[in-house]
Amino acid sequence: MSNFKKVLLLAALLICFEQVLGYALEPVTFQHYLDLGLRQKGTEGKQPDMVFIGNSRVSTTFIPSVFSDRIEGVSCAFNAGTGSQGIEGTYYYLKDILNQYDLKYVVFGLDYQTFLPEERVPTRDLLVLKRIRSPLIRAAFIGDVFEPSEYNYFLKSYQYRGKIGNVGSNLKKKLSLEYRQGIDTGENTVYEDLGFTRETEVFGSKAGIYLSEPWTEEAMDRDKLAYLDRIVTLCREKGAELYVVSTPLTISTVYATPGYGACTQFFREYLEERGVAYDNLNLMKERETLLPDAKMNSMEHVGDDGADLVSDFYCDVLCRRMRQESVDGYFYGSVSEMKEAMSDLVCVGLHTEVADEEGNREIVGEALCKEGTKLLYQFELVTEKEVRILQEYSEKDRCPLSVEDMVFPMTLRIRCRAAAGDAEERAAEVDIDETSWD
Amino acid sequence: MSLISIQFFAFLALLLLIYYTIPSKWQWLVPPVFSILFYISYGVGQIVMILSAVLLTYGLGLGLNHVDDRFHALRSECKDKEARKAYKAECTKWKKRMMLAGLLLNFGIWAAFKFMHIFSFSPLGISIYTFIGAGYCIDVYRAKYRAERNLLRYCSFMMFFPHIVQGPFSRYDALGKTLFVRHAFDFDHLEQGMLRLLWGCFKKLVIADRMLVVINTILPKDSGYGGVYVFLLFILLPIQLYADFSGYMDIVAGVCHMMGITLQENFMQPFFARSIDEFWRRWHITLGAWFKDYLFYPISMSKIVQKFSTRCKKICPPAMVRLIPSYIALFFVWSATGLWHGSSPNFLLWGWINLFCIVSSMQLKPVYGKIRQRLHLSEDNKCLHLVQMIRTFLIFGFAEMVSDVRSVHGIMMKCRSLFLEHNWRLLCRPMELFPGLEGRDLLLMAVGVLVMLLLDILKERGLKPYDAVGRVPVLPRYVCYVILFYAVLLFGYAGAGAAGGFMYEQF
Amino acid sequence: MEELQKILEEIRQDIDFASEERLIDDGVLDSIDIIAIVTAVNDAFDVDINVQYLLPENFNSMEAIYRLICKLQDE
Repeated sequence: MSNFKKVLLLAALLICFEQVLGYALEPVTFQHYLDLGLRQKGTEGKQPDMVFIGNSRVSTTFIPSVFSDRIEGVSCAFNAGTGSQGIEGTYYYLKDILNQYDLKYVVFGLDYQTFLPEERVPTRDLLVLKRIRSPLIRAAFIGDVFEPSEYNYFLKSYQYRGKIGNVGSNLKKKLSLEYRQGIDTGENTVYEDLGFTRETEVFGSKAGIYLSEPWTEEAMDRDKLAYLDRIVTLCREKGAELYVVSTPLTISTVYATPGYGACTQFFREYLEERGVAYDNLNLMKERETLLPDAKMNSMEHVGDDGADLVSDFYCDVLCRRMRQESVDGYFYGSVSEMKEAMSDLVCVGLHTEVADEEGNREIVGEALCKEGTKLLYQFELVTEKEVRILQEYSEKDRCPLSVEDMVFPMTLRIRCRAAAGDAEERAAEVDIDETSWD
Repeated sequence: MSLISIQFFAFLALLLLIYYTIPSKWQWLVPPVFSILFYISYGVGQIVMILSAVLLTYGLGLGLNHVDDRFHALRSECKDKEARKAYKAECTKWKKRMMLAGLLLNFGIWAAFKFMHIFSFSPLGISIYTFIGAGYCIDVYRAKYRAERNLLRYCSFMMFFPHIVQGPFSRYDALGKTLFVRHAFDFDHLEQGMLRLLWGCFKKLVIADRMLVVINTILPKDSGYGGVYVFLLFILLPIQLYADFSGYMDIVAGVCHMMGITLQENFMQPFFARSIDEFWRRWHITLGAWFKDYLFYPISMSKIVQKFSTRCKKICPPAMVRLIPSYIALFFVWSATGLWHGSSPNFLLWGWINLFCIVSSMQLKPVYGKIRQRLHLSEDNKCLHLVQMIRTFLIFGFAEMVSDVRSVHGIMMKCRSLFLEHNWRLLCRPMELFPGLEGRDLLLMAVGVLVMLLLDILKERGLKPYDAVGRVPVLPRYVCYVILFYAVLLFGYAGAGAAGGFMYEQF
Repeated sequence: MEELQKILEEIRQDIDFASEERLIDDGVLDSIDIIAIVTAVNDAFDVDINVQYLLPENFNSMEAIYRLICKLQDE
């Protein structure tokens, strides 16, 4: 065989293997369903004219049909939120979408973590790369964001090599009828429509206190911030109206993360200078009753009902903005104002600490409340058979938990109320089993 | 840049493209240019360090030749025998002085970085090029060949990037022969080189990196793993080091083979060695050969040592007297070998363990012979060979543990736990013997090791891998190449904390 | 030559030095053997074999070693 033929043979074998392995290893993603949905809209004669873009906080919050049903001039909205998408990915993905469709409105979800420095994870950007259609934009994205040592990730077989154990179930899913018809068979994360995914699980009584890294203006990565400007410019050039929004996080995060208020203020001013409207849904009025932490799915994702509520709410806000009407009545002016309007006792949580070497522990209660509020705590141990009060209401925020008391599985519950006033009692629970303290 | 990286493969592809398309009279320039680029990828400071070593040894070689030529001219003009002898002695004296000064400076710089940690960084490949350069100078001193006059050719040899990071210790006459001749494009060489490179990557990424996880879990003195786990170390350490080091050697040999250049082999199925002495003729072959030619022979054949052994005639039997120069030389060789590997006392101890095994093996040779006769075992007895191989393997494993556990206290603790901790029942539950790895990773490691050892068995029986592979028809052969490629790509270990660099890169 | 043969056979009883022509090339003698031979020869024949003479052509056979001894004795 001539050398040239040998090279061709080798290349052909490599390509074949890569295609087969890539197909077998690559898991099913929501992009598949989104593409099917958009094609469906195309057959109905509806071209996408509104997009929601950002990370999973966006994809789990905004229901496209709510917006296309209620906003005049929007025939097809879709949710292009992609899990873990960074701002670089948002910029290039948006550029690609604007390349394909004539969009009237772009809604970009960001929040206080968007511009904080973080460790580079190439697989996040690979997910976005896959969504980008235009070869030129892809090349620009690769050149801008990826390092040469990450180029091997462009081989699907390499990128998904960790999924070897799932090949069987993956292939089964891909070859099924539902997959071809765009019907998702997920459990807790259900793909609904046009990019929106619903998180059905909620915290319920297990909502605790979720704090995060503090925000300061100095800590922000200015390179990342530059992308925000690029997004603003891009939308302006393409004639799409840009709205920027922060989706709901747990109340405890907003309440207690240092610098959260300053961050909201920063975004507001920064975007106002650029003529872009910014809304922070965490500051929506009556938040405490409308979307308490019990209804959230996680620190950063709204749950089942939360998506319906927030989509309706934000749709109202957008309609008013589009009519040049004020939306001040919808939101608190600042985090401080929000705190003022909230109950004296906002939320409570607990964790355990090791007390000694024999395995005894101590339950430690935490609470978020207005300054000066005196609190009383009660600790309970809940099993299948009974609810046992370990420590009755008192000012002590710590309660010993001896090895003898431990029953697996059990639930530790904390109740908290203000010593004075009529603030609602708050409670939180944590489920403990044998492996919880490993 | 690491040898297993996209950048390196792009670098290699570019090198090969230029190497085979450039006009033949300039082909020899391609390796040095790319070697310089390779060095620069590690930092410009690295170039300065190696260039100074290059210039030093190049100058020394030329200087030695100059002295030789001058005195040769003087001797040939002279008729008087005594005068000629005097010129010869004078020549030797000047050459000796030059050599001493040059070698002191050469090794002094190495020692300063290695033992005194003069600067915070370690020059890339200093332990390799220092020794290669010294070997070259000693060969020129011994008039084995003339010094290289062309500085660029000498640079090409010294800075040759395949051997500069972890070896092998190339000799100027051997490598020079193949480095400076014209190499026509040979598709078979390209294919074979690529196969060897892939195989090296497999050994490193699939086997060595996985095994390292288990070793790093058991090795620390406070890891809590003792008893049977320590015994496991004796087995895992040699295999892991072999997979890592010989994997790297396969990669560089593959790279050279693609250029039609032959590097000296550094491994020859070392686990088939039946004694520690033989082991070091099969493991890191070129290091052993370097110390043999440039330390063992000069010391053992030096006047001082020979005179000393003669004086020992009065108190030792003749058989022993003949071995004394070797013993003295071996002491220096193994001390130096230990220190080459590391500057802390445990490496010296490691060297002396090897020395002890070699010397005792030499002394006990007649005793072993008698035992063999008593048991009616011929020298060719296969079981005996197997026992000897296992013994050698475990001794090497023990010595490696000594060098890896950095403190003497740690070594003693590990040895104590070997006898005092009673967890040998775990041998019945092999899946639990490898902390840090489980399920698929364990299986891959086991399969990889079996394939590696199987190949070694076949090579020991005379298999020539390139020829054997070449006999397979093209289609199934290429399918196997692609399978090997994907085995490396998909099964290369990249768990959290997985070792990134090669073990011997620090040298 | 007989004295040389005696020395060689004392060092390695298993080799037929009379007929072996490739002692170095075939790896029949290892480095320890070579040094033992050099030490014994230096002592018995009062010569000084130094490293520069360690070449296959000087040690490949008994005759070659003998030639080397003679050469060194002449110097």
